[in-house]
Amino acid sequence: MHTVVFLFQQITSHDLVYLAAKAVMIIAIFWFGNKIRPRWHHAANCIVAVLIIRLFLFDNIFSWYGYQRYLSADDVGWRQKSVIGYEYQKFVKKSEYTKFLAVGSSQTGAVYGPYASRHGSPKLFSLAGMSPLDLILYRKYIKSFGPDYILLYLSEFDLARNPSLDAAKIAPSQGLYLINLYPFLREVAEHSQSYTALKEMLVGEFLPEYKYAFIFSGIRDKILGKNQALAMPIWTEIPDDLSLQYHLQNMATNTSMEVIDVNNRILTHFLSYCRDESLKVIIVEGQYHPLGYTDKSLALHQVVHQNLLNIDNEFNNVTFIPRTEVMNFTEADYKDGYHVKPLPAYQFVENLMVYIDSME
Amino acid sequence: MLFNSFVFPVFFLIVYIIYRGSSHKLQNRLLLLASYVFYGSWDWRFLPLILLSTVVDYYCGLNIDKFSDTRRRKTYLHLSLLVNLGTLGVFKYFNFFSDNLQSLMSQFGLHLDGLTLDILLPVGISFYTFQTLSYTIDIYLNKSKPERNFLNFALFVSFFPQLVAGPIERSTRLLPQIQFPRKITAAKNKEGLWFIFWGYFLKIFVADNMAKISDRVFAETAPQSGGEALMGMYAFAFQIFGDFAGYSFIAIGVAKLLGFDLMTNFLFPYFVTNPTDFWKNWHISLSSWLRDYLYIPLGGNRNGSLMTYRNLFITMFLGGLWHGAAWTFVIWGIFHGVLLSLFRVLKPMTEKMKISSTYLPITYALKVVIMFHLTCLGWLIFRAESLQQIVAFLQAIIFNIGSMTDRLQYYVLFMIFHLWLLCLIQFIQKRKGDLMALENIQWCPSWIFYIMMLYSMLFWGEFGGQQFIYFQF
Repeated sequence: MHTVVFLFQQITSHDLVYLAAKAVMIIAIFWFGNKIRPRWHHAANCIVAVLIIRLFLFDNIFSWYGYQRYLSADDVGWRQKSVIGYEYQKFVKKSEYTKFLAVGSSQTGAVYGPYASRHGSPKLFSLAGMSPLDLILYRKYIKSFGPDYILLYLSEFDLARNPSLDAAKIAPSQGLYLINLYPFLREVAEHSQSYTALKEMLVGEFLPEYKYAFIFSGIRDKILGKNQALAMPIWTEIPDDLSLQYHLQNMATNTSMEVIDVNNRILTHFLSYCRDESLKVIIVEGQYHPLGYTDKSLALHQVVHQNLLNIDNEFNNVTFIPRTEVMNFTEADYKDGYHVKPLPAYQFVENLMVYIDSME
Repeated sequence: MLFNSFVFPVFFLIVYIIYRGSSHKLQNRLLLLASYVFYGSWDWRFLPLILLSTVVDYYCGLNIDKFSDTRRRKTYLHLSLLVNLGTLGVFKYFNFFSDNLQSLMSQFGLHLDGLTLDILLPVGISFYTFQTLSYTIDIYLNKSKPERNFLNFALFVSFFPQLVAGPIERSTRLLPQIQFPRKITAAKNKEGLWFIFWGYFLKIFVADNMAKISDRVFAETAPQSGGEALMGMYAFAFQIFGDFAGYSFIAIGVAKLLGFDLMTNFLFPYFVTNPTDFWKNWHISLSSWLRDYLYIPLGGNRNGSLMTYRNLFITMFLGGLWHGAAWTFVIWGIFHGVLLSLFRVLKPMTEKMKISSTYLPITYALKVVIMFHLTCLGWLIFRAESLQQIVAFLQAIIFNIGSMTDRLQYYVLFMIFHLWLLCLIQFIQKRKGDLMALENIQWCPSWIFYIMMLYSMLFWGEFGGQQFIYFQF
């Protein structure tokens, strides 16, 4: 009951106007469709049915709350679970003032989460596997927080990672901005040698049913008991040492010098957007498990570090904080290959806040 | 270029827009160009083969008609048969026969190495060679006249909606539609859109989801239990129906939008009560081709029972072999030959049995269930990777049906989830004897069905551009 009340409290006048406008449109289509030639009645009724179904499935907080409660990462996937959370959060009223907004992957969530949950700041927007391209795709949502500062946590782990469009299909619709984005999308598709994801993204722009099909596949699979029946691995229960091995392997194979340039250009595109929208950005140099510091990763680090220094010089709305200025994580601080434990994460952010205060 | 790829709708839209604005002659040229682009998109190296078949059969058709001398007419017919069946034989069956020959020779201590060819099977070759063969045979039998316009004939051979997986059209049906201007009416557009929609539903929602179960079950030489073996067979039965019928319906729908009427290739094969009716509902274009150009010329059922059975066996043996160069396909064909023969034997006995009208629905249902399971047995043979797998599956079904495990329960529920709507729609279509039956049902607005099908595809359809099974034939 408390939850239902909370959900109803999130409905704003803007939401009501939007719903009313949709209702009017649906009624208009129904009325018009039944006034014209009989052969078009079916088509009109189908369109009306689709619009009504969309209202129920996607255009309200209740549905997204339900999806979030019912589906886990094991049912739909890590990124997909994050996206459901993001979609739900879109309907939740934001507090008036946000000084810091930490944006990034689950690594960012692990670093800022403990401090944020205690102090209410920084606000957190993290998606599993978030990449520089996702910063652009989710730019409007990031801006909607109205933060003074956007905190990014970036290293060669992010900027030398092979770019991919796999999660682009479930990103927010880009509308006409797609024209600006298309060269990046095309380049990423070429790098990953897969145009299918690009095509899926374009189709998803027009069909939310296609975009969010993973929700209904997840519901089907959960009801039918797929994970248990087919003995699928429960990712949320994988032991940390196994995760560490998997992450180190992943870092070694999925990073390369060749992709730094395209990732850097994508990042600077996002930073340009922030500059145009008067958003300040603090890039905190990211870290990962020390066992991941191989000759290859150190070579990548040199290039990425220099790029971030160049960005600091080029953009007057960007501040770069090298990892040495805040706190170096040790092996003992890590849960697995990417994610730090809560206590060292808390200390890190505490130090970071002091550092930022000293800069201001 | 698969029908269920992202590229095809764009390709077809471009062709369609230009097509609608063109004269009849230009339409034919456009379709010919589009057909060659469509076929060449698979592999441009396939184009010379289809061109060869086109040129040879065009030339042979004209000469068969030109001469009244039987010897000369036969020569040109044989040339057409040699080129078409020879091409098919080399590309499709050479390695199969040479492997078997090597295997046989090795039994006698003889080793024949290096007899295999490293060649790609041109997609659709089984379909278009049969189509062009029917053209030359019909001219020879004086059932039709040759097409004098080479470009029209080339379009008949390569018409892209039905080129790679049928329906196998007859020249008497398709050529006149090419020769004369076509009318694109609102009714045809409606039918075309329905068939395309129905075809995509069958492929994306039914077939590609059933493939998940059948691939999983058939990945193991021996199934975990008889229950899982049965589920694998059922899943494959609906996979192959959804896949093949889906392709055919999309082809028919696309052709309708262009003003063409292609023959119906699938009706209600899993609602039949006997093997004869099965072949009147399944891959109708192939079964009718085999009947008209093989079974009837062999004598059909005109020369007594024994000869009838012989003719059925030969026809179904070759029908099985047509599907692919493997012993499982041959055995599948022979299996259907046995079924057809047995039915002929049992039919007079069953017709004499008097069944009370009260029990007629139950009897009908029982016959449908029995025939469905016999068909599934055939699909087991068809799908199996080896003879050993067929034996293992049968052993499991007969001796180890097993208990209801989590996995088996999942398979059952998954199949019910994905098949209930198909079965309901097919039941409605069968009752009315009309593939457009959803338009006319009284108890539920048809748009509700369309919405259910649409959302089934969008939410649970597989959009990965899975290959159609019959492309390998």
